Amino acid sequence: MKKLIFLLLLFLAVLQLSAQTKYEHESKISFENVPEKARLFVSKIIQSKKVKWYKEQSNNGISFEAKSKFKGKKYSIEFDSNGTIEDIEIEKKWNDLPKTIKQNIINSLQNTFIKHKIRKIQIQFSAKEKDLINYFNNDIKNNITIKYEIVLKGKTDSGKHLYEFLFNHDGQLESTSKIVFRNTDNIEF
Amino acid sequence: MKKRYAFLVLFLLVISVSFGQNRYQVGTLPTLNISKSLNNNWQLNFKSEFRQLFKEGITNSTQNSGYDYVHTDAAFVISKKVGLNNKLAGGFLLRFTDDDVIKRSIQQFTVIKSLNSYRLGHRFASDQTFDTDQDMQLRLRYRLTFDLPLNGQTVDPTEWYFKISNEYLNIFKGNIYDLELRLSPNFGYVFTDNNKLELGLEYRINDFVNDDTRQRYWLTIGWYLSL
Repeated sequence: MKKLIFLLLLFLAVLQLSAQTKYEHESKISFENVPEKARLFVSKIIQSKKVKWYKEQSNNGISFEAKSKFKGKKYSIEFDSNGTIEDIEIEKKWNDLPKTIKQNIINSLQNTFIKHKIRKIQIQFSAKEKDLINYFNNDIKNNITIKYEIVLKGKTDSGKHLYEFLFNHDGQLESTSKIVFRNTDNIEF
Repeated sequence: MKKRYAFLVLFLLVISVSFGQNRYQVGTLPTLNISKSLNNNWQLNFKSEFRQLFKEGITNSTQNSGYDYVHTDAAFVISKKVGLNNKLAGGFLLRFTDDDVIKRSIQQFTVIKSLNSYRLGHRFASDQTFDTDQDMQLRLRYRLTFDLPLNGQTVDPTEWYFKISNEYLNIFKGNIYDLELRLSPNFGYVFTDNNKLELGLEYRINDFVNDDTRQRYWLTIGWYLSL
């Protein structure tokens, strides 16, 4: 019995070690633990009292993310470790997108998949801090880069998978990645 | 959300103690679950459960007994992913009691939805139990499982999560029908995505439509390994 317990513990330790090659850790943090620069920026973009803050630590370093709902839309604002803005993402509906963009996106998806279904659309805004503030408060569109991030279910010859597609301001495909689900054994069995 | 589930657990526990005289069992259910992914979306799963009772009797009565080994299960299930979130599975279980080996065939279909930070799992299952000199027992089951991270939006390694499941079992044996309800709140710890440990409680109630309610309280510990 002792041998069995020892072997199980050894096995556990091996699994633990093998997991240390890729490191990603995200946690909810309080307002006080967020760089002041990031807090100030968010207060200039969205007037909402309910802002949730997250800190992500990975092999690439530390980043911060603010999530909130403002004027009926979901906002996700990302910052680097110093609190410098990286981008603002706003969840949108398919019909909110301009007609030409929609057409380009559809063409691209139809070329890639036998069948697809869009699950989530986010418009991504990136620029310097003052340009983003100008855009969101005064609708002045200077030096703003707009991209479209789409999560979709796609069917190819190899089966159905969930993907994240990134399109540029014209709706031309920039990058794709397959979304990997968390292990589901503890829900199935 | 967490408060709502805590309330539900409390509510069911209050209901359970409000029954008059009924049978009860208190025990432990340690489980080991090992999965191995194969090519073309196939997966093999082995599950072993060791059941022992620490107390058993009738409430408001002096009739009760202490420790008892009940059985050890070994289940082998093969599953195939048939959609983005769906799996079909089938297998068999061997139940080793003191004096017999009970056989059970298992079929199940699962749907798992990942919604922002939490996941919702539906499991539709049926099983047939073959015991010596007894009618075959058929069970039609539905289980709803919900899990969410206790910190942040995703469950990362070295983090805790909360999982709760509620299952309804329609049991047919000969001419007898019974309904069993199960509720199981758990706290889980993720060593890696393929190595998790869950600690929790499982409350089971059956025979409550007759006047012979049986309630079972299990302390559960489950280890999920994926190779």
